[in-house]
Amino acid sequence: MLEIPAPSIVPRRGSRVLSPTTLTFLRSTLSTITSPMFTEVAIIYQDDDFRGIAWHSTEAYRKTTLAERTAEASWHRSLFQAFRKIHATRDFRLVLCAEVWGRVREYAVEVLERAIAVERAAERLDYLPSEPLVICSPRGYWKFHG
Amino acid sequence: MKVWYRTQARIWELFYPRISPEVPAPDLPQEVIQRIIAHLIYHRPSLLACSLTCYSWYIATVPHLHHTLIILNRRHYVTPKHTWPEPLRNAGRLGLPPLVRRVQVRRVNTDYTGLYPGLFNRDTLRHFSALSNVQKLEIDDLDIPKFMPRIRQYFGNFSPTLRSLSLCGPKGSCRQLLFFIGLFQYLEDLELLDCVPDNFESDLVEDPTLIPLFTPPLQGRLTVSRSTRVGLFKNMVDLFKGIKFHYMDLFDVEGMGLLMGACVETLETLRIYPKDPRGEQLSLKG
Repeated sequence: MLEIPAPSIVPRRGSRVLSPTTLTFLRSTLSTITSPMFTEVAIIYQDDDFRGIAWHSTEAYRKTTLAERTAEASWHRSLFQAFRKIHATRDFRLVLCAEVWGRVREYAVEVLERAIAVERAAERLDYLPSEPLVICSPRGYWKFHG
Repeated sequence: MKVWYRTQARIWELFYPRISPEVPAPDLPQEVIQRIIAHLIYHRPSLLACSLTCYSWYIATVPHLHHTLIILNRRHYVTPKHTWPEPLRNAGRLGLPPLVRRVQVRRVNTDYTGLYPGLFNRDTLRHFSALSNVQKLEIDDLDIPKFMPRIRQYFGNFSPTLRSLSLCGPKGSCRQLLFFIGLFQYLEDLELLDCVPDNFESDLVEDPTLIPLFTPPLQGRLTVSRSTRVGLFKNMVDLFKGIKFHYMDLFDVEGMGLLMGACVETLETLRIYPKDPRGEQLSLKG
């Protein structure tokens, strides 16, 4: 399994395309590693990646504006385009992992499932051999940032 | 009539058993006690209470109580009983070193000069050598050059049992670092944190005759954070005749491509950590 944060593939702000460096790295990694156990690519979504989560108030959620919802949908769309490019290198199972804690876990999973549903409805997931998996797992991904 | 009275007495005893000092209460099987204690291993006060219950509970509890030996450094900010070498000396005095599975030598402030041979005297070294069942060793600022060439005298006792090694800010050249890692013949997991050469180390000349004593399997988990030592992983692959890690956690690492190239057949999980909290700057070096 290759675990990589979603904003590393497509930044949330600014450019909405997969950077050539990241693309080259991911392609070379996926084509180099021959281990039979290496079959999944897990995309890590942090709390900042969900616009409806309010971390600086007592409430867990906040109301998002139409512009924010559109921007979030656009970001997810860009990510799925990037996954398609990466998948051309090697067959893998796509895992979307929400790394959030507490009450917002269901919300985070719901957002990811909705993003997948949008792609599926538009028939843009044909290239994947199996359905993308959505999981919620607090893995301490930020342990190096203190 | 006699039979009737005897039967009645037995029935009476069933409901109201006699407690007499001549008939000892049956002991719980040790497996059952261990299973009960296993639920409490993360709660030290409960473990301490259990250890005072009776001998069999003490036997089941004591390996968990003394599983980890943490030694802090200087006497600032912390009580002396937690600083080098008091925890080691106390454990040695009570005969606890064989129970210790994990040793941590931690820095608590910036004036820490690291772990170096000057901290050991005959008494300390004797207690340190008695740590014969350690499986995980974690050391901050290990000053390897000062231990050379008699480093085996200090750390050789860990060789048969050590499975996991964590070094934070180790000092020494790449060869010296690999020589230290090569002391442990069954080492599987390796963690290298802040593996950055300082000004002093840039003057160190690599000794090509320094060959590791053993070739550890290195097939578990590799965690590397902030490693900019040029040639460390190339030398590791060369000297240990390849590495076979199954898990890799990499954060700001020089030679990432080399590591992945060396583990192409065994790698199951690769985690790449971004350099910034937003997660947008992936460090992809080498």
